[in-house]
Amino acid sequence: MTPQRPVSDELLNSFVDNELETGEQARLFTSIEQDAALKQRVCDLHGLKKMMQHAYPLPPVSMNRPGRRMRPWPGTMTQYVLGMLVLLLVGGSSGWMLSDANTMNSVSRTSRLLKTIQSGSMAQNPDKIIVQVSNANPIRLKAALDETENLLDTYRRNRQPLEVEILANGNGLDLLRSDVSPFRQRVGLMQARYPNLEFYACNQSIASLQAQGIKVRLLPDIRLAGSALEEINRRVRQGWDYVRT
Amino acid sequence: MKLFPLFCRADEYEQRFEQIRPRLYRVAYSWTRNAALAEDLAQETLVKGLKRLGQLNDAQRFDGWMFSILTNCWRDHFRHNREMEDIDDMDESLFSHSRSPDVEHDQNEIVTRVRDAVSRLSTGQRQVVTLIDLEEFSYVEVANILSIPIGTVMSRLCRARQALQTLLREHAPSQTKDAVQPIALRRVK
Repeated sequence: MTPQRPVSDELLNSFVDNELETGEQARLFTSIEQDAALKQRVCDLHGLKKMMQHAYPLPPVSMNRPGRRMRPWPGTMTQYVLGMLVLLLVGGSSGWMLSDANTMNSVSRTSRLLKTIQSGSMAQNPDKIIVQVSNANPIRLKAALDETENLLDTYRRNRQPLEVEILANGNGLDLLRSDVSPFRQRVGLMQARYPNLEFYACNQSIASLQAQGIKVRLLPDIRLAGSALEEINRRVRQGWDYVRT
Repeated sequence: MKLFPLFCRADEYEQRFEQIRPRLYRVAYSWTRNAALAEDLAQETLVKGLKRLGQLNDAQRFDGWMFSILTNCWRDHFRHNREMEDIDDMDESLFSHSRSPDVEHDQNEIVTRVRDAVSRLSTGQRQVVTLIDLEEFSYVEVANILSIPIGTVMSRLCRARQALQTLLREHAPSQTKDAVQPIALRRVK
């Protein structure tokens, strides 16, 4: 029997991942049949792939919109895609799209906007801002409320119009839950003090918690958004600035 | 003019965005091990994807294109916020299922071991192995998504799997050994 060349790990990986050409695959099949140790290595690699897939299942609830199982992404998405196509048409003829300044770049403006707000320069004077809170860390929640309050105060002092929405989703929903929010009183005070501030809770996140058997009770006067993405998309399309904390 | 075909493909893209969202989340979670961050990254990717849809020339490249955006989103986030991440953010509640406590415990133990092992890989290795094992992208597609040579994909994958095997062996629960013992005893009888 002629001694066989040792099979490299790279080659075995390619075999397991179906990356080999037919001829090479056939040769390796033959080698595997004749070599128990090689067979074991292949089994181990297959097992590892299976374990990876088992460890990271597709999200069962929250990302599949439990309240709308039959049609997880509602008509808004069609409208958005169509909206984008209309924008393409308009932008293509006017050159507006090339500026990439308004809705097209709002996500990347997030950090800039916060810095602008923090520095007090207000160079861009945004007058409609949606603040997304998706983190339950009390430090971050406090920072979001502090920043928003600073902003509202500054605009009020300068007699400038401003509308702010704070949108809580995911773990950030804790901010607006009456039984767990570390800022119950503060949210109430801010609602009373600033009529131009609205708090929104993501209905999808609520459904996700309810699916886990958690009863969700919201603070008074909290509005509901179908989902965070829908609300953000809607507002960005309307020209709002988007800040994520 | 690509506008008319794009217009006709609106429904197709709607479905594609619909389907890819949980996949983006899963991969983002495997990279970050942080549910809130993964959700943010998936969302940011979708928003960017929707905004840049007109730049996608080949509809068949949609999946890879979206995962490229995800890669960039994570890279940006990593650059800007690496000092700000804290351990309190780790949350696996989004993966919870309604199973019996016993089954849940066993399943969670395997899941936790694998996730622990994956989180100890280097960033590059983690990206490659998750894109190939979870999303079943080809090596060429992964090379395009991550903008690296295919040889690098193969070597990272190889090292990632070797490391995972070693880590999983090292952290195998002691009860595995106990479970093997009764079988050996029966053979002796």
